[in-house]
Amino acid sequence: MASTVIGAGIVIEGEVESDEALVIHGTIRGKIDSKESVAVEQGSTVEADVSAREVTVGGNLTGNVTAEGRVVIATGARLIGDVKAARFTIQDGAQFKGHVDMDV
Amino acid sequence: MAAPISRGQTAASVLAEGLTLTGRVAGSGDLEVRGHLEGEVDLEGELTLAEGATVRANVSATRVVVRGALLGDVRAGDSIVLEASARVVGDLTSPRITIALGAQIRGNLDMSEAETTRIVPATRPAVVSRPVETRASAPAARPMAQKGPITPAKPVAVTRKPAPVVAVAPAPAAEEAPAAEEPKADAPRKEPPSPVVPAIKKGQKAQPKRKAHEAK
Repeated sequence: MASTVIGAGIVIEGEVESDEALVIHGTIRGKIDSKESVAVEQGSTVEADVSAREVTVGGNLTGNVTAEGRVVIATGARLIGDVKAARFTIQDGAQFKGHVDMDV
Repeated sequence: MAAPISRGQTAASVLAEGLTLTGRVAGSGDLEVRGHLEGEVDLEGELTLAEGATVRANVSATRVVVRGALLGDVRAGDSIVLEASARVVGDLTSPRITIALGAQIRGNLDMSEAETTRIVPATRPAVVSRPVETRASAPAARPMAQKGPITPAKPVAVTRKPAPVVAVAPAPAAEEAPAAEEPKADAPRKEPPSPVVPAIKKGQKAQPKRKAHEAK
């Protein structure tokens, strides 16, 4: 089945919990908790603490990120917040401000 | 699954089965809820609550289609459609509402949004005439009160025999014209209604009934 998609025009204020993948084009303020991947797409705005198996940031994300797998900040994306993940990638042209904890 | 960035932004929004959202959802675009949602939805577009969805929220959208379970009020600018699998507890407000065979709903339906302004002036003159009707019809509805107007008709009948007979017969049928006359006749002679009131006050139905039968 299709995973959850939050469209570009949608604004969510509150708590989101998902067993499946989450793709965000719109705006979320609050808290995101997913057992699968979370993709913050280009043009989206997320002001939330994100906890997921895998997090990919292509848009604007403000909040702490916790992932069992990897966290990727793509080109043109911006992440402000602390990252706790096993693997962490910042692509060329991405902006990041925060603390990184990779369980070293 | 998490391929980022490349996708088009016109994608409709879907809250999948395994998703639980607590809070407020707003904005524009179509949204389909298949999971659990609690809070409030205010959408400019079509909102679909899929079969299996459990929503506990007041919902507002241009168009709302319900196939799942919803606890909360629904307001739609265009239309509301309850499909056969819909289970709704709440009020529906929309100019157009469709309820499919098999759908279950408990709540008020209001389809008057666009027409309220037209209906209100139309009903007000009707309401003015209605109190006259209700006054006439209310005593007519009560068997005890019916006997009231008949008894004063008898003393009146002494003076005018044909007139009261005609007045009694049209009273239930054509209410307005005789209704205006009857209260005038009732006003000077309030003797018959007075025994009716204490009979009710006693509260025991058996006694007033016996008295009523004896009176006959």
